[in-house]
Amino acid sequence: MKLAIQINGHPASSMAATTAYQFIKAALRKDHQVILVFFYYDGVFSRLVPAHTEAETAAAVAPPDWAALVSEHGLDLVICSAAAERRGLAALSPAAASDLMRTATPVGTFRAGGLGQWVDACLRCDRFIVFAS
Amino acid sequence: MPVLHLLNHTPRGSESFARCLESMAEGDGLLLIEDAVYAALSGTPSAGELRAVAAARNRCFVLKSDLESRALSVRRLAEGFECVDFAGFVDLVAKYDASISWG
Repeated sequence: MKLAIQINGHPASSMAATTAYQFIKAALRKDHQVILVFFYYDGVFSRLVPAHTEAETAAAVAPPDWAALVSEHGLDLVICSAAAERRGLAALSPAAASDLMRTATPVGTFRAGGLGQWVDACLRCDRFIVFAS
Repeated sequence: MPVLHLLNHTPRGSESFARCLESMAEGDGLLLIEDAVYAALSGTPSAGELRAVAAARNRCFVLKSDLESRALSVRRLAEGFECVDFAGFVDLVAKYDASISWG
C-alpha cells in the first residue's frame, strides 16, 4: 500500500509528529511504502527540532528521528515553503540556514516544496492520512 | 465507502468530537488517538455517546500506546472499544477506504 502522510502540529505543543513517526515506522515494518511526508501548518517547525538525547530515546515514546528515516528508508520529507515563510522561517537552502538550523536536523533531511507535491502524492497513493495539531 | 474517522482531542473544549459523530455513516470506523483516548473511559458522558455510535454498527478503536502513556489501563475502557497498537492502526487505514482527521 502506498501512503502519503501530512503532519500539521507543532512538535513542541502537539503530538502530531510523534504519532505520525510511530505510524510511519509501523507501516514500513509491514512493507508499506510511504511516498511522501508533508509538513504543513505548524508542522513545518519539525525542521527546527534537534536530534533527541539518549534519555529521550529510551523513553516509552521516543521523539521523531526524521534524519534516520531519510537515511535508512529514503523517505521524501517535504516542508511547505509557504507555511514556513508565513511563520518567519528562513528559506531552506543550506546557505541560508541559521546557526540554529545547523545544530538541529542535518541539512538535507527535509526539502522545500508546496501543496502541489501533496496533491500529486494524494493522486498517486492508496491512502493519505493527516495528523492534526 | 467506509471511512476511518480519527479524533485526537478530548471532547471538552473541542467541537470536532460532535461534528465527527454527526457525520459518521453506518459501517464507518472511529479511532481515538492522543488525548481523545480519555473519551473512551467508562463512566464518562463521551463514552456513553460513543457507545450509541458503536450500537449503530460502527466500530470504535483506541490507540493502546496513548492509553499507556497516560497511565490509563485497558480495563478502564468502556464496553465496546477495541485496543489497537500502531501496527493495528496501519491495518485500519488499509481496511477502510479513506481516513478523516477531525483534530
